[in-house]
Amino acid sequence: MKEGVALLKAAQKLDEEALTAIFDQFAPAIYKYTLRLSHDPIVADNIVGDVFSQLLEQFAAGKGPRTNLRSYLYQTAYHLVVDRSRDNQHNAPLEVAVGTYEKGQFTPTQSQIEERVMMDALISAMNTELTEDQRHVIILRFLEDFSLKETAEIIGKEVNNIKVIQNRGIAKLRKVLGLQLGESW
Amino acid sequence: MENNSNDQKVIDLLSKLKDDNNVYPLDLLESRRQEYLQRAAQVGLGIGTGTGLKNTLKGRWPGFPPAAGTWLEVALVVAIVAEAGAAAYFYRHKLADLLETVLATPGVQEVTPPPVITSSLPVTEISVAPTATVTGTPTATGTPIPVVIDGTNSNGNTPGGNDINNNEGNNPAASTPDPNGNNGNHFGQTKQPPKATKEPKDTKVPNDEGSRIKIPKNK
Repeated sequence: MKEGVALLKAAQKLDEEALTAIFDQFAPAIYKYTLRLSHDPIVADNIVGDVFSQLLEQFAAGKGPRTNLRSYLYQTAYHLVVDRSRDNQHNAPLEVAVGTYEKGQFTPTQSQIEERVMMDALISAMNTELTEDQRHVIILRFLEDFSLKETAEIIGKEVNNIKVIQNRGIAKLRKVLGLQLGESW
Repeated sequence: MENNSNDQKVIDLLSKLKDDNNVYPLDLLESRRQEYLQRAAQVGLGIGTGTGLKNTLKGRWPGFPPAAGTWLEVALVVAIVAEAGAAAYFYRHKLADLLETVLATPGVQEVTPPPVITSSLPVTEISVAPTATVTGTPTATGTPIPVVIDGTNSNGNTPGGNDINNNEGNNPAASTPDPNGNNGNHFGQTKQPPKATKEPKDTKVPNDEGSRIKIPKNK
């Protein structure tokens, strides 16, 4: 399989193998990301289709990403999610997206129960305490492992602005979790 | 310092959220993949042709310098102009006729009066012949009483002293054009009644019973 820039260049020439490799590599991750934001498997699937459809159109027009394909795909997905949420005025809670985590990882040990309590508090805080930008930055930085620069490119803000948003979000989560979990925080 | 450690705890907790089991359902993934590949094939075919045409138009053939496209474009324009000029030269007469036809046609239609034809035939006047109008006077017996408007009595006198025949010359009964100059009028040829040297003794005006309806002849 071609990697990195070679894969991107091949895809720009509409090489079928490269286009297939891109889909296989990034579609599950994009789906997971959009599911975290949209909380609806069907909506997430549709957004995945839109993301790769736009990618094909960009390649066909001689445009599209030149260096960072992953950031480009997430950026497209981010804008689609934001547009869709603005259209629907839909603000579903995040625990729907991470609820399966609890089902799959639940074990009746004491440590797992404590961890589950913390996770519930964290998810609740993310849903209720964070702003829209803070939630996006936290997800991209710590759940999708993007760098500050990549996160700034995806959201369309300056790196310093992303830093401020991230720090405020973390501080808010820490404060909420400390209040809920006691003095140990 | 305490805040940094607590922040790291939060970040560690957030990292654990990455391990959720939200995987792409296989049926959705497969159908989406097939759709994507079909679309990629369509776009690849269409855009491949379009790109080739665009590159051809822009002179981006492999092995050709970029200026070749410009020269090719200039040569095509010159060829088109030369062909148009040659065609205009060969058909110059037809073009001239066409232009002449188009330019000679006046924009406003001229209206000429109809020609006056002088004819040797005399102008005939069509006049209505005098007709006798019979007016019926309703009477108790229901018999109409005819009234003679134009006529004289047997003695040639005008009843009542009114000369109605003075209209005879004004209303000639010539409804058809006269052939060979004879319009049918015979003025002066009618025999005049003999003039009475004496007044008739019988000046008695005939009554209505003795009168007859006399329709004037069409002279």
